[in-house]
Amino acid sequence: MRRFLVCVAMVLAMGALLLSACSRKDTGIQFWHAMGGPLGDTLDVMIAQYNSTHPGTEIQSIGNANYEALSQKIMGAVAAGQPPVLAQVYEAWTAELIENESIESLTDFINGPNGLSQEELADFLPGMLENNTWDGVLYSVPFNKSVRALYWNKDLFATAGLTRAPRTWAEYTDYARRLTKDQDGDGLVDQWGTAGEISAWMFENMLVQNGGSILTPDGTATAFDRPEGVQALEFMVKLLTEYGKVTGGYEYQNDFQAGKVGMIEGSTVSLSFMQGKYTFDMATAPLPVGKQAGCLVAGTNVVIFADAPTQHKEAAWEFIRWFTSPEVTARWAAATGYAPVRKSAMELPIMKARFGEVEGWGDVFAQFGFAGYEPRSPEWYAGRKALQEVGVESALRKQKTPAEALAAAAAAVNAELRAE
Amino acid sequence: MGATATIRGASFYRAQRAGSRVALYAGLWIGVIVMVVPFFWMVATSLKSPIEILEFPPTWIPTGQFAKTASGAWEEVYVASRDRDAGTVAVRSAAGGPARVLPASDVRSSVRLRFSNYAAAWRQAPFARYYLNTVFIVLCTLAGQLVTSALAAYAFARMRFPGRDVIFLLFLSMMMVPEPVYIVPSYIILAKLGWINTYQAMIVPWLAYIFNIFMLRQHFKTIPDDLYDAAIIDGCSRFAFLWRVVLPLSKAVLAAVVIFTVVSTWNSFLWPLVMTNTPDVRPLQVGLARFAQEQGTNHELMMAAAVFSIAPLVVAYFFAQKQIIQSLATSGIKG
Repeated sequence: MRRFLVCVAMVLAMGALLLSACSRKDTGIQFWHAMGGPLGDTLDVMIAQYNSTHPGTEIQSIGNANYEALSQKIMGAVAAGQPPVLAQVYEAWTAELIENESIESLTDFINGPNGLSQEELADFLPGMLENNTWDGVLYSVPFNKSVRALYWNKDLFATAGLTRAPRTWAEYTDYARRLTKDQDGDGLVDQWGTAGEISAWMFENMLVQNGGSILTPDGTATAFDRPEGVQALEFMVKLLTEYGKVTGGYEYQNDFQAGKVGMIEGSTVSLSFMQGKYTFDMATAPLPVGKQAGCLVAGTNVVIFADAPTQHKEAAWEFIRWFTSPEVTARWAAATGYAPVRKSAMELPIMKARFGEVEGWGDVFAQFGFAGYEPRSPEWYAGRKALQEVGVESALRKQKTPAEALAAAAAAVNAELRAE
Repeated sequence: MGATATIRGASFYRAQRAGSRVALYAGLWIGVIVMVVPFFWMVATSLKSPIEILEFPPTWIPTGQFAKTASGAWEEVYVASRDRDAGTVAVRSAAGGPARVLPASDVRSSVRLRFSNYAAAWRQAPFARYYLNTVFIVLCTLAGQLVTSALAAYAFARMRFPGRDVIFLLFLSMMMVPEPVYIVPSYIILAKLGWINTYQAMIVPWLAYIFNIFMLRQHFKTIPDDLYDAAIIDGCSRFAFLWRVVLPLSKAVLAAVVIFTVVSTWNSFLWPLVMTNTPDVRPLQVGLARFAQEQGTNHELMMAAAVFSIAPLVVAYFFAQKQIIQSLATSGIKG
């Protein structure tokens, strides 16, 4: 009994010690994001630099591990009337936040004394600002935008007699076929041409390359189940199941890094992660061209919440202006693989140096110049999941033909779109 | 004749006993392997280089590749490819640069344990603070849960009041609700209380835990009514009966509650992640998430951090092992 009481006393003493330490108030400008690993480290360093050069403001970098947790946290905070000042959000969340009048229009900031000139606005990469504009009002700025890249193993390509990355769909399957080998002669394939995960994003890119589109122009019905989409999915299934393997999670990336796979498609951000973790000669290339070159941008934007005090909102805008300035966005892009959001950033020495370090990287980034965007309604956010799980997955697992799989996915997505 | 039969019988039984013992040990060994292999794998991974982690077939013991340099010293390298027919190996130095081809005899592999991963992982985040936070949250939650679970279970098991069974069923039905469903409403409540980013946010909502109440109630119900009647006749109060009779008879279940509560609180992730913002209150599990990013995970650092995050639990178990097994073995009379 006495020992028990001693324990309780110790707990209380420790509690008093700790609680006194945590009673301080948060005074900084909270920026909620979901950047982890090296990406989070890069962001933290940049924010620390900003704070040290801007006395009087403190941007607090608050990492939330993943987008799922971030979304729940934002929902709760907005409902409780206690949002942060800045947060990373997907377009579908922005649409809902606008509806609830929870976020600030950026128009006044842009036109204000500390705003952006017409030349500066025109310097943003094509589509980036349009993608953040709702009914003519800019509500968010692009933060971490990526496109897909082709990563290829030069050593494996050389042993297969290949000297460059595939440029067309025909070359894509042909090279993948030539890279698929049984090295030790046991009758089983042990080197694959390519590999990939079950990814709606990969299919959507191929859909665009094949001249298709995800939804009809008015956004009320699916278009991915039309012949262009069926052909694109047939191509993807052939590529990944005949000359490649479909893996869960990032296993395909691990297999590529281990030198078991000739080439993979991945996000431009993957480079920052793979860097230094392979022993072969690696190069990058833009995605192979189908009927046309095409790719879709993924990633989130940053918003300012309406409930924050005015001086916090102004400080938050100042931070956004700094972060999207050519020099800073170029630094961010060089370190992470995300897009530099400004055209002029592509010409800066830091980006040029990066393009020099990684073979093909300049051509990969040139894709941002013509990249498209996904539909951004909250209905599509749910619909995309159906496309991935009902459409792409059942086709890659050969449970359905691509045509059947897309028809089933279209039915699910259309139900979602009509529920609006 | 009779004697021979007896001897035969004895050896037969001895053989049978030996046979069942072999089966028993085989079963136990399977159990050991199932429990230990993931643990061993975690430790092994935490000592590898990022390149070795991706190797297939995987290495069980972390291994490094070393190549002979011109001066005859051995330098650590990465093997890019092996040509078995020519008997050569292409290697790259750890610092990068072009591959060089060496005869296979100039490249050897040997055990290479990278303890530096631990230092690197430890430096990535304020883990000392995370430890302190986790221990504090676990102890407070545990103390609270023991009190509330014992009292609630006692009421459900022994006292009669209107609506008791309905309330108990309501409690049970709450166990079916998954965390993502109630996390946003919980956030709103905690935000209105001004508790976001505080220890209370991680402790107070967890001071009562239905599964523990359920477990204790089931056990309390097995304690015979005779004991209760005898105690009351002798002038024992209800609380004294709980304190002096029921709880001492429930050590085994209480031990289970303690283990369950400590492990689940120690491992809790989503709740503390959403309810806190800054490292000064965040627990270990949230700190671990730092090693994962959008396009992959730093496995070697994450495993190193995982090892030192669960080490205190393992050490505590070794020290308390005797008590835990004893309490499970001497759980008193059952009804």
